[in-house]
Amino acid sequence: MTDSLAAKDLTAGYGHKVVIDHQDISIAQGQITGLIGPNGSGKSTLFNVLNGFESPISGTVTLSGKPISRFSARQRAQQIACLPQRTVIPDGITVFELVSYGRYCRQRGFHHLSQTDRKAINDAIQAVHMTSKADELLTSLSGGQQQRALIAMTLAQDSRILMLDEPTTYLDLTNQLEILNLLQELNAKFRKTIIIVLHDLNEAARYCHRLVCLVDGHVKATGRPIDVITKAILADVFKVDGDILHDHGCPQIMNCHTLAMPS
Amino acid sequence: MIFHKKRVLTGCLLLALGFAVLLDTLGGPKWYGISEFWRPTSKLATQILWDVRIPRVLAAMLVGILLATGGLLLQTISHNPLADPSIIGVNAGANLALIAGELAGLALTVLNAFWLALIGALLAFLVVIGLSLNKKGFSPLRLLLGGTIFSGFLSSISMAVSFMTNNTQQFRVILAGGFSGANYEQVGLLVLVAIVVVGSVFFFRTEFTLLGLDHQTTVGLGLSFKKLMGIAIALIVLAAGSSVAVGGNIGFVGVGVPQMVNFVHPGSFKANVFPIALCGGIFMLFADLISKAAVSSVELPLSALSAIVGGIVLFILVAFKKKVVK
Amino acid sequence: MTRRIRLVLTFMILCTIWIGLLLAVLSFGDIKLNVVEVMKSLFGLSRDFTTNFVVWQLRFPGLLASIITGGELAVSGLILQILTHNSLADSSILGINAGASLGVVIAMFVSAAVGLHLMSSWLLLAALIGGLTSSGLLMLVGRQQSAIKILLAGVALTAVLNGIILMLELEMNQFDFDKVLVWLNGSFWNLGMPFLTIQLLFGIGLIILVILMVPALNGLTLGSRGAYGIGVNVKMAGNVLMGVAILCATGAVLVGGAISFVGLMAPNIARKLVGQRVTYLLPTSWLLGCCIMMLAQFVATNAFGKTALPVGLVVSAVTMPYFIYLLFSERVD
Repeated sequence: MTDSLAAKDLTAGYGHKVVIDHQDISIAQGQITGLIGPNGSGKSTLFNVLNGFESPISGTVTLSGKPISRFSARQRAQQIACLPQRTVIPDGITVFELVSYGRYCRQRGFHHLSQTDRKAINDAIQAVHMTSKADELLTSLSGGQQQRALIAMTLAQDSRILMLDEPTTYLDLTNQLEILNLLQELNAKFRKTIIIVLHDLNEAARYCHRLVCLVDGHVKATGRPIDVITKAILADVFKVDGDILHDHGCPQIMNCHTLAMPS
Repeated sequence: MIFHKKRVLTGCLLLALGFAVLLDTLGGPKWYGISEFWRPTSKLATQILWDVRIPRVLAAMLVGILLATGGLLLQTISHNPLADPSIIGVNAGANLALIAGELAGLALTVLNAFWLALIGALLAFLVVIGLSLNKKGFSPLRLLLGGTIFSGFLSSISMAVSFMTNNTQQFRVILAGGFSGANYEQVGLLVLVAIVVVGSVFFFRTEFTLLGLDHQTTVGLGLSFKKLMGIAIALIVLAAGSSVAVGGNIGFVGVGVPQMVNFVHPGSFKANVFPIALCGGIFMLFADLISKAAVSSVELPLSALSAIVGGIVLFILVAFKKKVVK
Repeated sequence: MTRRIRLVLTFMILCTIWIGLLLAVLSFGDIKLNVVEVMKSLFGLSRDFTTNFVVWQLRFPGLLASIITGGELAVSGLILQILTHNSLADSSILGINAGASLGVVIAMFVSAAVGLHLMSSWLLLAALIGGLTSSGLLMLVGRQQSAIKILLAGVALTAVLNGIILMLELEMNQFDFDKVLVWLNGSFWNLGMPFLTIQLLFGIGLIILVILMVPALNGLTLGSRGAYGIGVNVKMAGNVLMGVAILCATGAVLVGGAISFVGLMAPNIARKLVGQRVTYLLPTSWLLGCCIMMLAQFVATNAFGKTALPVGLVVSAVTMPYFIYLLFSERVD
């Protein structure tokens, strides 16, 4: 498993506050990697540094071996597509137009939509199963549909890597599962490397091939879900306890409860 | 522990206010010593002190308190830190009413001016409120947008009227703002208004703090949204309108002082409203002092001064302090 | 399909209004001209000396000034609103107009005190320096900061600058005060064709630059992180666009004095008409900006008989009713 995106000796944070402390992280190609951890563990910082939006305090982030800062914004977008936590939905725009924004990094000059562009856009819309809604205004769609449209936009970028920051947090259950199933499908069909920040441990365990568990700015554990979701991690990192059932090799937590506080 | 700290802070601010009052009373084109009070040097001095300076100082202090409190209240209910009564049409409405009244031949006695300004302020504000309500309730963005536009509109009319009636001289006076003509009648009215405003704010402080949350949460917590909004609006109009009637067009205190205090000591409405009110008074007193005493024999326009000083302080805070104010 | 048709229709109506206002400004005034003759004159086909004279020598400069000012302010406002993610932003709220005005007022004040009569080119320079200084100060706040901080800094800056202007104004005698007041309220104080031609070329250059950056602007409507995600170089694009917005605003102030509201109103109205796709929003804002200024020019020159009001005063009077209409219609929805 070659590394496509990696960070070496990474220290990152805001101003004087160090959020990530001298960590090595590597993202395997062609797999779905989940970033999990309690609030304040550094997930969002890690996300922003890995995609180059923020610069680390020290250490390097490399994409296919080359430091990410050496990529121009366009080149980077051709390799990594990322969807931040709450993207603003502009009004008066149709699904097709939104997805066409994703072609920005592949266009030159006057950004006229070429045949290739149109095909990419339509393929992306189809991949998220929204072809019938292509000419609808975004603002008239449900939360789940809007999220799917945004994912289509990132697909139109034609990048190898797709990063999503908490794509399911504000969606209802049906929509959550819809999005996660979609991501699984995209990974299976197109071999996309997907990095996703998730809150729900059961979802993370079910839909990710690998998990990276962060706590207090350092990586506590990486590996398959079955190796990361253990009683020890639950207690140590999340301060909870529960029964871990194994459903076809996938760990699911039942009867989750907080640990009694030491008096 | 926190309670204690608050008391100390409020105590310090009260002392500072007292000091500012004293300084502003004694200062001016001619500076008096504190002994003037119990051993006057001349009858003229006593007259100046009691008939000219003290009412002016009291007016300045009260207007400062009112503008700062009104400003904070407006920012809380509109969920926008940029809200200042002067950009919501209140000042413009009051100004226009005063100009219109004068043109109509009304004698601008203290009482008349007060009522005119209040009516003008209220009417303007009601229009703006009407514009900013939509189906989902009160929209802060529309309030500010509508207020800015309507305010500008009213100012343009005021200016146009001054132009066409060749009355720009009068316009200059209103534009300049200031407390030089203040008398005890005005002070009396201001005291009344201040009691009402400050008293209501104290009485409703928890409710107003909760109004700062989003609409649904507020209603969910059991507050009578419409009633409280109505009260808040009435208080803002009262505070701003009476300030214009006495001090002319003084902007910026309503947004500057709360922002400065919040930057240095962030807190909820409830926690900060009294420090802000006191700081407003202190700010206005110092501005008044500078306008009187800075350049000999010339009185600097107060509105300009408060804008310049306040603006510079706020700008420095925004540019160099890391924390963001919401 | 209905949406497309609606957009095209809106655009066509706007263009018609634009042309209508253009003809109105040229035809009406102290001397009333025949509209058909005016149209012929515009294409160089008129033999009527009066028409040609009035159109080209008397009224065209004012018209050109309106178009330049309105267009530039609208474009500047649009860019600033997208960059700060706040529809309350425009060049006057950010202090750019105030800076340019202060430059001019200082120049006027100094020249009056010294007894010199300033050439308009010096006043130009003063405005430019003023505008650039205030925007430089604003840059101190840094563009990486949140939108609300930039707006707050702009409000603070505007307050300071307007305060200084007020102080200087009140120090002047009544005559100069009136002159400055007129200027500050927006008026076309220099209608010489060489001056306007330079401004026009400058404005066209800036607008071409903006057109080239439309895709980046589209990306920026997704927020800075969303824009980054699709490959927009947010930092560089932001800086370039900010610079363009400042230059547009300064150019407009140079021609028309301190006119506010157009930069605020035009993009907001345009957004309600055509949505947030910059590809449609940019031309719509530009057209609206010009229309607002032309309408204001028309009213200022014609509505009150012999007194010509400063055009800036009329602008707010003119934009108000439509804005109220918009806000009310949104309420009913």
